[in-house]
Amino acid sequence: MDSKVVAPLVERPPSAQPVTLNVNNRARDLRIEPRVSLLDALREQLGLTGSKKGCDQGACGACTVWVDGRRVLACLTLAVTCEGHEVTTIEGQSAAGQLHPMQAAFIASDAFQCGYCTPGQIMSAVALLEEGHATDDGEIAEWMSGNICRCAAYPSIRAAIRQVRDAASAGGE
Amino acid sequence: MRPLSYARAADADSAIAMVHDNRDSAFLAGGTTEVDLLRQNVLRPRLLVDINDLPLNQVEELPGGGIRIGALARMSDVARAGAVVQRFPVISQALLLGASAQLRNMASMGGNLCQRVRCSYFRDATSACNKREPGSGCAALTGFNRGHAILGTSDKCIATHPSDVAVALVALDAIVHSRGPAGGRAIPIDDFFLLPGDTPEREHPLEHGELISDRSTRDARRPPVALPEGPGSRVV
Repeated sequence: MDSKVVAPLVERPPSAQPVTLNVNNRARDLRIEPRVSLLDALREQLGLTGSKKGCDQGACGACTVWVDGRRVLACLTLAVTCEGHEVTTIEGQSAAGQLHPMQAAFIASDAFQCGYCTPGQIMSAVALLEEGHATDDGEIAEWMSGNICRCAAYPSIRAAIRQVRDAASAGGE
Repeated sequence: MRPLSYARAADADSAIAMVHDNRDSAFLAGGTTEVDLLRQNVLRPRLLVDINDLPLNQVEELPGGGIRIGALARMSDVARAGAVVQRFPVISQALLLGASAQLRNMASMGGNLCQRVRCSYFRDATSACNKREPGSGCAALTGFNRGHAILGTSDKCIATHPSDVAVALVALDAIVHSRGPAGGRAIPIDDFFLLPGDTPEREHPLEHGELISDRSTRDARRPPVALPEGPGSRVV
């Protein structure tokens, strides 16, 4: 390592340690081990059970949340890595008791049956519109492909997304 | 998942030193493969060194028409970067054909190159696998293997490489730049991906504690393409 001095890094032990997460614009203090996933921290430590554990291996999308505004999978994210970053969950979408337009559209379009995948679907759907990947049904299907619905409510999910997309463009948002 | 220690690196030298000094450690980048395999006891480090804060996420144009992609640039960001879309659409398209939007937002370019195989026997910690446990045998040879490789195999391993964008980078003669305890080096992409041979556990030439840094193409008509700059060894 040449001869330069390298500052040693601070090592957190495997035991539960204080971690502060910013979730839905609120700082939350918790004690967790480094191995705890963001999904488990949200559900089991913070009581935010909207994010669902489907596969717990990054395939189903039921745990989709945003970190710094980008949709990611909470099951493959270690909670401790989110310190200093903004986490947004489905609970953060309905500010002041008002449903997010995407939530309202899912209800209006009957875009779910069992509802288990729905929080993840909505977190992805809102991000999808932000990303500008909802031009047509083919593009919506491709960019929503990380969210599996075993009830196969896909046509209604796409209808809900189209509804919000069209309302936004009509209203100039 | 087994208990883990954790450290967040603020600079590359510290991260490299910490991983180099501890055989039971690994870099942590996007985590999309690593966290999954930690949970399945396929990877068994005791310490994770989080390198996500390192400034290795740029996509920059190089004189001569090439680009350099930092190892921590995310698949989604690289796929939509102007220079990539306009000059190296094969990289953009290959990236967008992989994984899902959520995974592409997480997965780093360095980790993409170092991602582990999808062989179900590798990922099942109770199956024989020379890649996971050298000398234990290869359950895929006589198992369910219709999705396995027919070229570049050995009698020790028949897993396929999982990266889509790796194919594009090979076509572009990209160069992988890395940094380790002994300094930096440039590795032609053809030399980066190792055939299984008798040592399937060695998938690339990076040493423990060595990080990927960037890429470039050697073809004069197609100057440096860029790639990862960031951690290589054990980074996922």
